[in-house]
Amino acid sequence: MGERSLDLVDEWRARWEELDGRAHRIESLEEAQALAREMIGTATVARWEDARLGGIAQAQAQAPEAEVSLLVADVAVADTGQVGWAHGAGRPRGAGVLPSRQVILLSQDAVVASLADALARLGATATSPPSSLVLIAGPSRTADIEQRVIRGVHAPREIDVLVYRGTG
Amino acid sequence: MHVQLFVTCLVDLVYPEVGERTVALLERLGCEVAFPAGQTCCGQPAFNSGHSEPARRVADRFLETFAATSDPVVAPFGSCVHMVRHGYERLYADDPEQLALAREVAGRTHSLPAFVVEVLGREEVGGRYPGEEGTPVAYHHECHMLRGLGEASPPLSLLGGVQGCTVVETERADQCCGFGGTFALKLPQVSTAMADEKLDRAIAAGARAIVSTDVGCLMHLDGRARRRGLDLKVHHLVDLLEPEGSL
Amino acid sequence: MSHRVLHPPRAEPAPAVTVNLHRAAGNWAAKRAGAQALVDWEEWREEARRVRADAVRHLPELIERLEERVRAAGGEVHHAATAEEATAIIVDLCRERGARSVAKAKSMTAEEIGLNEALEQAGVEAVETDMGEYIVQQLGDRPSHILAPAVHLSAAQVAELFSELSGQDFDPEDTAALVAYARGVLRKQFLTADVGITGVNIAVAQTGSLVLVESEGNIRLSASLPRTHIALMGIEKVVRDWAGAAHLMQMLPLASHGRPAAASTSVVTGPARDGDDGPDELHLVLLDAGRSAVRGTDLEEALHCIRCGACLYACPVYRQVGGHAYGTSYSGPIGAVLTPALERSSPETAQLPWMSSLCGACTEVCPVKIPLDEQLVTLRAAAQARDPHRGEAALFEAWARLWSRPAGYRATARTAGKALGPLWRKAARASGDGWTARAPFPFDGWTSTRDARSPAGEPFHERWRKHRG
Repeated sequence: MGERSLDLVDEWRARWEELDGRAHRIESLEEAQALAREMIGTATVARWEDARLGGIAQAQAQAPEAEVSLLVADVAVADTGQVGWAHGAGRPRGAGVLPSRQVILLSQDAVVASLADALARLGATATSPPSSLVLIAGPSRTADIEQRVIRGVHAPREIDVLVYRGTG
Repeated sequence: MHVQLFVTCLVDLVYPEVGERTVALLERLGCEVAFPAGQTCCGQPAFNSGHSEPARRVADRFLETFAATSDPVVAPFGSCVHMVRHGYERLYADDPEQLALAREVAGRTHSLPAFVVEVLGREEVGGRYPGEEGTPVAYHHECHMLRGLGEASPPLSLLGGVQGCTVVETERADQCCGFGGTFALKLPQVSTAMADEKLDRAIAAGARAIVSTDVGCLMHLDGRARRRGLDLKVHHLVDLLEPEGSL
Repeated sequence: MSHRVLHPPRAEPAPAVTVNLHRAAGNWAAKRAGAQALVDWEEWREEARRVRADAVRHLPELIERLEERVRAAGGEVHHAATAEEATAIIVDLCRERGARSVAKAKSMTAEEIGLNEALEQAGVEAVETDMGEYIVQQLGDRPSHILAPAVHLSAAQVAELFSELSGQDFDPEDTAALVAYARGVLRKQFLTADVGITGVNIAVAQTGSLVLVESEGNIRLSASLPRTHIALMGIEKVVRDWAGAAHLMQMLPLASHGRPAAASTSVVTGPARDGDDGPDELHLVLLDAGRSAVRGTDLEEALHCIRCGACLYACPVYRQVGGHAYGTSYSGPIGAVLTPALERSSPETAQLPWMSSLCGACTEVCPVKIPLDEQLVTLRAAAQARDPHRGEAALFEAWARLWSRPAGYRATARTAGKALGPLWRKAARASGDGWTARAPFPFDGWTSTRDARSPAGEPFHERWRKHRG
């Protein structure tokens, strides 16, 4: 599992970075949390309720006003460079999209090869899928004004994914 | 090898010298060229304008002419070959007998560059630019040859063997010149704007001549270049491959 | 005339627009080359074609399954046979909920049915949240490309508009500031709108899931924040299962932007459940408006379209005339095929298949292998049969009578010079090399802008007879 998943992570990362996302490889969940704490500092955070996200944010705010959103991703896709998650209890939708900066914790084990694998893992193919799934591939962007690419339209402009080892 | 020349109505009536050079080239390459006198046209102008019934009558004549023997049929450019290979599939969709005949003939109908390179196996056949030594030349891909028949490299390969000119790369050499048959008459302003783009790109690349294979494209580009007084000659590929060719 | 046909086509070059379209097409072509290198493109196109063909061939069955699954997930499904029915359904849904403002995400289907006008008339404020659509809406203009609605505009025009709207002074070169302004205005809309209206890119019958694909994030917001989500879709957008949907979820961004994935993909299955804080209601509006009637005809493959916009970028005629020239909500090659196909018979749409030189670039780039150039010829034949242009029909009839026999053909060659008028041959002789600036009818359209080569004094077949016997 170790080697194969490493390849997948590298593949995912290469695609993700081509799409203007940022990624960091961390040895453990604890170190990922520490790095996230450092990156976010005193900025206001809209975060999901997840044990893995505890103790990172120093200042919290509601999604429309928060400067940074803090989430965990359920899956990443090596073939496409996507990162995905399901919404649900403790995972408000606004927090996933409104703040212009986004920090995402992702377990290395959640990186799969294909989009089909990812959709299955997210529950899309089950008899009763979650009501809302999201797959992102880098920051939001527009080229509607003379083809000039501007990042960060309605969804985040800067996205950092912290990929940690271990099944935390 | 015995081949049948399908000269095409446009070459026959407006660019006969292209026909002559095509024959001369094929003979130089060791072919015996027959010219079935009963040929007229492939029917494309009517078909593309949505007049299938008149197109079919003329297509019937084409099939009758070239089914008389089983020798390969060679045309100076791709557009009519595309009609025979693809257009006839649709024209005869409800006539299994004619469709079978059309497929048989289409299977041995070729454009000149593809025939020379792929059937005769000659990637270069020499040739000389019929003008000033060292003229920069831009190649224009005929839409039906490039996209319709999937023949991108044969004409370029043959052009590569021509002495006395240098081939320059133009931006979007694969883009339509705007002739499009009746399109040139129905939407003349758009057609002309497309020609201007093609000519301007050739000039921007430093070309003083344009070479292509479809005489419709040639008439259109040459006619526009002349009207604009541009220093740009327009040639059929065979003018370079067999400049002295005649019957 | 329906909403999808706005005015008869105006096929003239539009130089100011062409500049912008060239830039856009150039960018797209470069990205596409990169995309094709990522995968086995031809194999992927064939798979995409197969997925779409399966869906359209089994459309009634798959729509039934889709509806059943959407309802099972708690959503409501509405069927609209026509554009008018669809707008009525949506207006009623908004009225019943006392909706005063709507966050509208980009939808070509909504454009097709004239939804914005209908909402406006009903007193519901619908603000376009896609950047390009917002700009176009504020200008009172119309979108000119399936994916890039404002592609025909310059930054200067946008800066002028935003300056007027805001009272601030915007610099056309500061694109980030322009985007930031629109972002600020539109965020308010998302946060206060009662209803969100989106289109649907792919509907998965297997689970009743709606896939929404975008770059900006406004679709996700429109489908997440307002309490009611209305999703409008043409019935042809359904696919059978997730295997097919996953393939198209990759083909679409590859074909449209050269990217392996869209910046944001939302998968919506029913209204919010199990702690999800999304909309309380999901309404799926299924639009037919001529689609069923195209099934089983030789234009059926046009229904395979996944609205990637590639054919518009590839079309040299589209680049010359711009999207507005087509006078329809769908422009470019797919518009020239789909609009007459859906419209059935209409004098306005009869012109559209002629806005093409049949160069085949559209067919070459289509990710689902729609034979657009062939379909344009099919439409031309249908137009001739339905509404024959007598002069042209007579001309081709005479042509066929002569040219189906060698004797007739040769007689044409002999008399061409005489029949086409002494002026042409005289002018041609005078120029020395057979070219003239004045050709007679019916070729005078040619010489308005180009010189014409006159027919040869001695055609090839006569030379052959002379030299080869």
